[in-house]
Amino acid sequence: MLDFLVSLGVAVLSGLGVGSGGLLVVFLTQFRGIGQLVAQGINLLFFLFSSASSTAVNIRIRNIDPRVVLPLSLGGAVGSIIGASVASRLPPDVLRVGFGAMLLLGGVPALIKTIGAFGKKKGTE
Amino acid sequence: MEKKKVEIEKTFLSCLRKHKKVSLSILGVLSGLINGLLGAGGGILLVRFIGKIVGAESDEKDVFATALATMLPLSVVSTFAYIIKGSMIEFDIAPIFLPAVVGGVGGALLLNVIDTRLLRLVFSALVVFSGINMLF
Repeated sequence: MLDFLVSLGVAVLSGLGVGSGGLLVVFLTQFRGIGQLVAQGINLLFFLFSSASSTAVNIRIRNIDPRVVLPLSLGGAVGSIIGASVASRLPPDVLRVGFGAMLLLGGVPALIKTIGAFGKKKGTE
Repeated sequence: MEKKKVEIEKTFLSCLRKHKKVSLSILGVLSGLINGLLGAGGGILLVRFIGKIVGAESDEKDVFATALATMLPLSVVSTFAYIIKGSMIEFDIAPIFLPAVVGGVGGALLLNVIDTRLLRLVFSALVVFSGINMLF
């Protein structure tokens, strides 16, 4: 039951377009004792299903410009292939820590700002 | 110093917007690279920068939808790469299929009605979560 709820939650977050932040992988590895590699594989396939269904809906109800998606996707496909092939040859931890740090440097101030945006409206701060 | 920074940023942005297709392609490549290298994070890059390239006329929610639509082919490629490398270990997809599809549809419908500030909050929270995740 918990698995279903967590999966559902992750899919909804992905459907919003905000991604899942690796929540599913964390859940699978920490709470279900599944190995990192297997968990990543499950996560990939999971995201494939959820993003496909989300996009099927979004195409109808939102304004997605194919002239924007096309160059993004083509570039993305190339980048993915390069990234995946190079990944095994580079020290993963350096990349991970570097990117993680970048995310925090940008994300923490942004988070504070978005919380503040709520505070302003209610006038509680 | 701050003024100069803003100026440089403005010039850079206007250059990006003049050559939309190229900028978008490069953004795509970078996103794909990050995704291929780290297994995650490409979407964050997309959400952050699609809006900057496409310009202020685009609805923020459309940016999220567009980023997601872009992630779909990227995920297909990543999945193939994973399978080819032999990293995709067999598992039962039945339990994940239903919540993935239902949640995916639900999320897209939710995107349409959610308060944009809440959307930004959730996004920032997840970015921070991802960042912490990557550091440890």
